[in-house]
Amino acid sequence: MKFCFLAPLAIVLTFLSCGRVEDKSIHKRTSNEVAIRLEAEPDRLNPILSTISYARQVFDPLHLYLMNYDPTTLVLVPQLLKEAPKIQQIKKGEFAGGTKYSFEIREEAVWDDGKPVTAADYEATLKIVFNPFLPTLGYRTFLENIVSFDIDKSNPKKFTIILNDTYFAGLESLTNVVPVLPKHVIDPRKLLDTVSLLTLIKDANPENQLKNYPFIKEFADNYMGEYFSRNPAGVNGSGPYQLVSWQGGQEILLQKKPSWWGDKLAAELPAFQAFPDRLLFKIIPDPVTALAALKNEEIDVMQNIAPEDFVNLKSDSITKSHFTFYTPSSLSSYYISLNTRLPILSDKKVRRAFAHAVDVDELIDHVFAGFGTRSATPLHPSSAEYNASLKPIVFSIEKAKKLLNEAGWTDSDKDGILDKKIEGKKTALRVKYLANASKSSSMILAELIKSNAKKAGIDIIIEAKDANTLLEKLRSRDFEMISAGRSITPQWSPSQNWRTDADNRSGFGNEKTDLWIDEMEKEANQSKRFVISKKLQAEIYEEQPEIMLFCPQERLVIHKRFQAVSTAVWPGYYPLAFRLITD
Amino acid sequence: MTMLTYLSKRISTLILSLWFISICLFYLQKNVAGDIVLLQSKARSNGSFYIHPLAAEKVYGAEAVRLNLHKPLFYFSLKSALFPDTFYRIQYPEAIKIQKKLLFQTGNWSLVQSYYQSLSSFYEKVSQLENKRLSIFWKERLQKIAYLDDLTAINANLSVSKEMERPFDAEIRKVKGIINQLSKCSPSFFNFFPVPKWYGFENQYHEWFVKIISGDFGTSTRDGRLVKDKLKEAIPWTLWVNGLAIGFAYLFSFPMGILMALMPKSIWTKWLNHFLLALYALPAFWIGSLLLFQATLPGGGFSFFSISGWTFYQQNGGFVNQPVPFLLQLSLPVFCMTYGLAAYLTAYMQSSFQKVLKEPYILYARIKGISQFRLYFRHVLPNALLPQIVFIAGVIPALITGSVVIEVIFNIPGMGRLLIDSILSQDWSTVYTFVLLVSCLTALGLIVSDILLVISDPRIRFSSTKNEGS
Repeated sequence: MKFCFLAPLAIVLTFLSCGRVEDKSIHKRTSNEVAIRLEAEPDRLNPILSTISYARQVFDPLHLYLMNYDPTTLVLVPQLLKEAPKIQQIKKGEFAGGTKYSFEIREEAVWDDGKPVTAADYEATLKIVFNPFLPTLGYRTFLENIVSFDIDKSNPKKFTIILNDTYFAGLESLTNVVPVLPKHVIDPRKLLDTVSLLTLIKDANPENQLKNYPFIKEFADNYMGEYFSRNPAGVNGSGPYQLVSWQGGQEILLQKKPSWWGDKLAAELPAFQAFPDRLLFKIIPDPVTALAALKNEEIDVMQNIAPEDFVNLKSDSITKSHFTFYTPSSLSSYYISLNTRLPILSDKKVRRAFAHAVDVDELIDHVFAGFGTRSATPLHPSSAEYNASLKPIVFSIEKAKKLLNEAGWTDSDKDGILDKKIEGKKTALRVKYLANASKSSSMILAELIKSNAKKAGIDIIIEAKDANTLLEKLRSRDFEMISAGRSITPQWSPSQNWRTDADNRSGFGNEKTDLWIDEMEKEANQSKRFVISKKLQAEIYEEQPEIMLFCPQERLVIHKRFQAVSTAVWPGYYPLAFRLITD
Repeated sequence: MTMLTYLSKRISTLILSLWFISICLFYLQKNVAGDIVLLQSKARSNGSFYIHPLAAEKVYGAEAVRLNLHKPLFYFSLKSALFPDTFYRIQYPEAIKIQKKLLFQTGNWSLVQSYYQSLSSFYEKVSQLENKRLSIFWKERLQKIAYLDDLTAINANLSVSKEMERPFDAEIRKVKGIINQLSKCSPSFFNFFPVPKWYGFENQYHEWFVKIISGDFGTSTRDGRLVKDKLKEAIPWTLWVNGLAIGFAYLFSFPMGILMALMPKSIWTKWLNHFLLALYALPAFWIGSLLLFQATLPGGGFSFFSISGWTFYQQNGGFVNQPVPFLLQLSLPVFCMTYGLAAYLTAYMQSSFQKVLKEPYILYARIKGISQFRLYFRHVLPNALLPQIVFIAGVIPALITGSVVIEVIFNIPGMGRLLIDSILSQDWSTVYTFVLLVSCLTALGLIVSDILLVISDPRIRFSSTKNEGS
């Protein structure tokens, strides 16, 4: 009786939690402004210094690249360039064995103040990348093969670059890694002119460079300041939009430039399309709050919605009347890496047995609400390069048991866990599995794998760690089994993860596969390259150093007043191509 | 003891404890998981970037110099005698790990150093090699060796076929020679005793501390902005929300607590007590989420609230220009912050008021025939308020620390959200400035509450030894 006072309170709370009012199909938002939810605040709107991936979708509309990927076809098309560059193999002379790229920038390309975009601007941009006092290490690997950068004396828009090697992704590295920045804005005092690009590329030691070229440090200190990361005058480029305001922790507003030189080209070239008047990025980190904002029509675009929330939204009458739902494949994949250097996991039969013991379909259905596509190799199944003759490994405890028996694992002490004599010592089939403690899907996956593996006689011990510790453990190869994800680039470049002397965590590979990789990355002919690529995929499939789980599908909603197309390129939409539907 | 000497004593202990906190913070900053050099260099090793462990020291070391991490950590170190004075100069974490292990096994630093150097020069020669097959083989082999700390295993890995060894005969012989010498060394027991080493003032802690003292809190490692600016932007929001919440809580709880204390037998008091308990037990994040969803239901909610509405007030002068809509926008988060605190304070006020009512001197005053009003407000209330003063120590820091949960739910760009965002993005310079600020304010709160207590209660003296007043 004492607690009967709780009844009215409970009724009020129940009303609050379940209250639903009939939907109104009139949209609150009508303007040609796209409001996009951001999960995290960008660090800087500077394409070279920014380290947070969320920043890219905010600064990209401010800039143009020499060439850019078409969001629907995923083909590299000229943007600032007049046409795709001429590529020549160099047979003789100083740069024999290298590749020469000849570029020409569009005549009409100008900065906001009317000055032309020239080769000198791109040279200055590359000098920033190789300035040893700037945190640009991640970009240098793509561009450090440059051995010559020549500007045509008669035409400042024409230039040639020579790479010391032939590399199939060389064109992408040269044209799509960094956008072209306005030299006269970032370096009005011409400090960068004191040193040549090649000098900077050849010697990355800051102490040496400081001795010879003291001005580059001054430049770097100035460039690291807020002006080139937050101030409209410092961050704007040749792109269709300009930064208007940035309210810390709240929103960033970009506005279409009133008379942008690219508008004239937009009719023929999709690379210059930019329909919305404004792009408003709203920073709402909490997913629950973001969903509330979505239902309140405070935002037009939201991606990375949790699978169960996405399913709920789809059946909600209010959201259904205002939003369209998209599930494009995203260029990323989840996998479990096995450390093949360890005696237990060095046998390919054991690794294949592990793969048979993972119920990927259940995982996709129950943890990801069905939003995933299985993949047998590190590539996306929709890609032309994907080896479709390889079928994803099926879940079968029987097959796992059989493979383990063939590999010599038996349950000699009848404790339910298989064992085997390795180097004279009885070893139980017990593996530590590192999971991301802060991600519930990672923890559920771990439990799922553990319970299935147990049936096959494998004992999995789950160790939950934070993301940073996981990264460190991966880097120092201090792991046995770990779940991870990675993004897939439109062009597969296996040398970073699959060569034996590279960032190869699982320890896959041998001389043969290394030579394939080298051969493949040098091969300019696409169909010939795909043949080697498929061979390599088959080898990875056979060896199973990584158990490929699946490629997740993006969960995305976009307001109905826009005609939009989803894309496989992260974040799954391309707001510049959003067209306002007018009746 | 006079007030002045008391204050100076308190302040000096405070400075000492703040200094101690700064050392703890610095220690944490250096030992937290995650590699600050790679994080700062857009080179997180999640696929986009990789350095061969033997080539890493050069690249990584250069980055460390750029970030000013190449100096000794503290004024002195207390490490085993095995370590050389210059051990801090090695930057790459993997190199440190392996060289440490080898050092503990052998106790001979100069040999360990020359082992690592000879491996590095071996690698350099391999990377210049034209023959692809050989270079791939040796790069992989050297990577494996670079992670090994077992001398026999290193030796075994260096022995391969004659054909593979031939181009590097000299290098292999050199490394093997050093390994051979190393395997004969073993550290003596005395080597493991810690030996203090003095580094002087040119160390990372000193430079950091001097900057903090002079008001330079550095720049955020996340976005390169001044930490000071980031805090300045966030503080007003939290001051508004928390100031209003604390104000309302006191405004409600004082009269309510007194009323309930005066009518202990009333049925209303009983009900209210239960209700307040229930209110106190309701988690703010849940009520906050419910209110938020109510606010965003079309037609049915509190349409005055907008999740992304804060920007509007940020741009339009806030309270000054639009006092009513501004306060309405604040109402939901302030309510969530208030109700629990108000419930707690009411119960607290009620019990302390009741406790004073039972004191013998109150009974004495009643017998003397003092008027009800005079009794309650002249004699009971001041005494009942005394325990509340202690709360002030907590209120001052609470005014600006903010509530992480409420600020995240209502998307308020205040201190709580700044803190959680900074932690998640490993922006330690912001986090530690925040912690230092809160420590300072807590210290300040303690002093203020001490002084207020002394002023309001003549029985309390500045020193516990002279506490003969009662």
